[in-house]
Amino acid sequence: MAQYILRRLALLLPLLLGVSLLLFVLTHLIPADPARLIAGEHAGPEQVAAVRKAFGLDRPLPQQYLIYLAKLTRGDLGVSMRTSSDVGSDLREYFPATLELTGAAMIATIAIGVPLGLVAAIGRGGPLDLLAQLVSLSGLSFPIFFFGLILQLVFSRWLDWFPLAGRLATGNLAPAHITGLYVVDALLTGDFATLRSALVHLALPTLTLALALLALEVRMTRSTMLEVLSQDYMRTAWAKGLVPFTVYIRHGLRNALIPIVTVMGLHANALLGGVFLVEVIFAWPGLGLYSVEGILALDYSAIMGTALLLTLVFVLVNLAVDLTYAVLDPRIRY
Amino acid sequence: MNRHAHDGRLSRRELLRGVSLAGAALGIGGAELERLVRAGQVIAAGDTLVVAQDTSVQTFDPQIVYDNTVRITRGVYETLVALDGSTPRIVPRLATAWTAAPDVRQWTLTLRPGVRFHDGAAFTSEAVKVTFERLIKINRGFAYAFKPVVAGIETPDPMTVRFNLSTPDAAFLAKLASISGGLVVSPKAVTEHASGDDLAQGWLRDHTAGTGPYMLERWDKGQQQVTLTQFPGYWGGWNGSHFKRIIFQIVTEASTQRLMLERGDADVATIVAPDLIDALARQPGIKIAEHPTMRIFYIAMHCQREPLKDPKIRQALSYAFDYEGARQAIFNNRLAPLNGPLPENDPAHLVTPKPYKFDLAKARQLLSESSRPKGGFTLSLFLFQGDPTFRKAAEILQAGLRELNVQVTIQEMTSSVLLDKAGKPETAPDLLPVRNYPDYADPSAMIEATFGKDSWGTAGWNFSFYANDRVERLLAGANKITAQMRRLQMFQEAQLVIVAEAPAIFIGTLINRVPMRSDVQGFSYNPLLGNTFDLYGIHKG
Amino acid sequence: MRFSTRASGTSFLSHSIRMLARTPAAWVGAAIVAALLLVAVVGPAVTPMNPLRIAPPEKLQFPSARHPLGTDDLGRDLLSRIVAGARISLSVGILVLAIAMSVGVGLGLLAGYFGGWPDEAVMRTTDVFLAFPRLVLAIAIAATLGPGLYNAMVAVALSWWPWYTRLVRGQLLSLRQQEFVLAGVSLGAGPARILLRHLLPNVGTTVVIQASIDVGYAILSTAGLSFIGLGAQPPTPEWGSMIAQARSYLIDFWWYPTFPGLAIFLAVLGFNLLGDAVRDAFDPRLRSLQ
Repeated sequence: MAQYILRRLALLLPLLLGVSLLLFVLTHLIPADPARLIAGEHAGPEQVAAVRKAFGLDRPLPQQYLIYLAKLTRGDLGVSMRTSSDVGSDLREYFPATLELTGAAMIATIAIGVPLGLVAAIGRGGPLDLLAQLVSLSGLSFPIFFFGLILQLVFSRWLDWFPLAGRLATGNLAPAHITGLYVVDALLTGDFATLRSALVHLALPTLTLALALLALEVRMTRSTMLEVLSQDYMRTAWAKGLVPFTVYIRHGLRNALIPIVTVMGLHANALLGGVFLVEVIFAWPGLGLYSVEGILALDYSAIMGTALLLTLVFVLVNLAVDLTYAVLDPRIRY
Repeated sequence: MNRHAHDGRLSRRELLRGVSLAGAALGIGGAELERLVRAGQVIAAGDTLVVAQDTSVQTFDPQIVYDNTVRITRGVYETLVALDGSTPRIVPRLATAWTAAPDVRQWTLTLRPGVRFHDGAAFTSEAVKVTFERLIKINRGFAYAFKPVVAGIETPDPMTVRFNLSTPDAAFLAKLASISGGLVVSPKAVTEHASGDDLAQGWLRDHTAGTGPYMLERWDKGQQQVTLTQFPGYWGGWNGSHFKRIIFQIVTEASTQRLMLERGDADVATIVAPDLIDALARQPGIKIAEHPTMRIFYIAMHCQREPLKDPKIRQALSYAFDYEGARQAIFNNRLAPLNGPLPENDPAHLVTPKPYKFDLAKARQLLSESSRPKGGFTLSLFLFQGDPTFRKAAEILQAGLRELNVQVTIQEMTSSVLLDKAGKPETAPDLLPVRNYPDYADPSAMIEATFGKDSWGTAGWNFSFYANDRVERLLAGANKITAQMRRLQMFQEAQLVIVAEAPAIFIGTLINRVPMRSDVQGFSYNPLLGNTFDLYGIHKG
Repeated sequence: MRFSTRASGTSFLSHSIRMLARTPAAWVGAAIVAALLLVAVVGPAVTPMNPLRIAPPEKLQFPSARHPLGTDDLGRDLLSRIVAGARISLSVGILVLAIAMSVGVGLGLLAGYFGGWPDEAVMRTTDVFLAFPRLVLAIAIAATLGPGLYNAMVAVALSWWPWYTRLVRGQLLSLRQQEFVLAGVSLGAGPARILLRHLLPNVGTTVVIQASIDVGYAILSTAGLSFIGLGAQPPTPEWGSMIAQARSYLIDFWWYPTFPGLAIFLAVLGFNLLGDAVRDAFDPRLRSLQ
């Protein structure tokens, strides 16, 4: 098992290399000059040239790439041309916000999606099933950016139940920095007023982000449960006279968990893509916002740094999913 | 709308009322109460201003900042001279008196005594020297106006500073009063916090050390919030009504800002979309401060490339634009006229109205007399991303030109990509909607930047790549003299030449509209200072 | 899994179609897609107004008899624009998939059939592409290519092909060992023949099913790119860019962003319903549950 993990982690390196190369090529294909942006709109040609030199942008491309790699081995992700601060520290600054949002979305997905799928499977063909299917299909078909706007309109503007944007109310101080996740930090420090504010600000973005994932989770749970329910061992359980709860949860759900967990892993993909749009709409100061601004500013270091981080997270999530299989299904051994 | 029920939080107003009542009842002082209230609640002080800021902060460095962060830094740093209220008249600020040598190549300023920086250093001529030398050395932002002109800076005594210029510059004082014209920074901070030879750029990115009324209390990147607090030792004193604290909450979404203003979560919004502002104007508790600006809005036409090289075609295009329609559709009729390169409220603006109106028949006629009588060509147009004003103007032009059998292809791109392309005549688009305002209060600034031959592309702001010898002679002449009447005449002439050749479609002069809560008083705006407003004089009534 | 060549597959096909016909969801989906096709083909000829006609005095009007869905911020008729957008969205969906499929299926066949180093090369490449979120990659590619609807479509397609490659390769790997392939090889059939006549039809069903589900996502992704500003350029009435332009008007002029949003929703819903039903009908594993 340990060997398996090590092998997987070893593959990470060439993967990151490949990703960095791909992105380096992509960003440098963009036919524009980031030195221009740093120097400012009214900068003269000589000012721009000076900036270009200062950031090493005048060197040949392969050399720039190698320099980047060399710095990377020392843990130096470079300096963001836009914010003038170290990309590493920028990422550390903005990562917790995205983590909090995606974490909350995953929790919401499981908390709402699995029971809904379960209920749909059990009440197959009935009104609940139909409702669940409708909800999930709609969730997949709704443009996420549009959904976010609608939520803002209905729940913030009309009903005034939730705030519009941001992580905390203006003037609210962030809780003491332990993890960077406001909800967790507020809990740990007993700062309940801030906890409340953080939760309330988390609600709408989480719901928006979880939309598509939720839909998929419901469908996955439903179809897996349906398969499971038709298996022989289920009939055995019924025959044994067990209570429905035990039958469904202990025997049914547990076996269904594998595909359900797979979906979560696969859809880290969908989550991370959606995070961009959601962070922009709700002014959530996370990686999504940081990288969108980076892309717009042609901030090579920021784009590369963010992409590498995302890849790392992605691969680790997949690894975690695979390992969870092993835990859930004793037949699987690496 | 039920104001009592936002997620259980009380609105700031209610909290303030409740808090002051409670405080009075308990005999607790304001500061103490505030600290109690702050714990996890909204800061409910009537002495705090919350501004919804539209762009994020990259740096607070006074010699580098050149974007909307200037709104913040102008409350923290000061210039040597200032503009009087909303006028272009120059008045003392950190300098109290000034003279120019007869050949306009030397300016001597007397400095204000008894001024201190936030870090305790004394304000002397040394500080001025350090500031400007730093500006020129770093060579970003507004340095372009000083670098070619300043030959040397002398400090004969602590309260006198002398600028020696390499060429005569009648506009030098105006430059000193401009939006980024030498915001004086503490020399103590520059030396103490320098890292290597970066002249303290690293430190000044996140910290401030100026002479202004406010200082930076906190820059919370996670929350995207900038908090300014009063500088007790400010030379202007604190008599009268001023805010103790000013919070800039960065919110890039316009509709989010709008909702914040409605709910009272923000006191001033910095959005520009006319439709949103009109919607806000209809809400109770909100007012809109309107001021004329010197910001002109036009579509530059590439004068060095066929077919727009032909002035007749450019004139035809000028008749094919629906000016009234644009005024209505884009600006909801809140747009001042524009007759030429200078805005309406510039004393040297062109008094003869421009001949161009929306007249498709005339456009067709001019086109038929041109080198492409039947039209049938395609023009490229680039758009700055994120601003619907440009897009709408482009679409209106596109629709008008369609009638002339001229196609316009539009491409929206980020400003860095666009400026890179538009910077060179070979890659610049045929048409480019632009906004521009003079960096300093002198007609030559605008005309030179927009239509001067040394300002092609991003060397200036001449995206028409226009050059005309007569205009150049007139501008050079005007720079050498200080006699106002003669200068005005020369500017009029230059503008007449320009307008006749139609290097741009002059759409209008923008009106600055700032939505704010009704209880905000003392809002002061100067058209030469971009979209900043005075932070010292603003207060709540 | 199909265990036979095309000849005896007819009953499988007709059985699946019959099952499809019995699913109400399929009918609803098919109806929506058919309506979309109709609107796309015939619509622009029938709409009351020119979708590009600017009329400043009529801007931001509430739906009325003259403008059944209201007007946008330049006074253009929303109904006409949305109808014109149908054609665009449909072409987008189909084109994106066409590109993604041709690249993806092609590479997948290559990898799956030949194995060895072509397989390795293709798989490592897909690993890199799949290493981070699809939409992020699409954004990066679109930013590189520059603004424009075609560029956005290419970007989305290029971020999509690895999925098809994986799908096809996986199928191929198991099919390769099947008897009918081995039989073909021993009979002296060349690789091209085996690929085309025997493997492709089998793989084809899976790919088509996947594609029918993916059309909706293709439309959504491209709309997403347009929303950020990387897709359709003015004055093109693409639904995603219409929502982007209408964003700040949601509160006071809700119809402006809402109707294009609903249009996207309906179109994608239709494709999803149809795609799902097709998949369910053709999936042998679910057979026992029907």
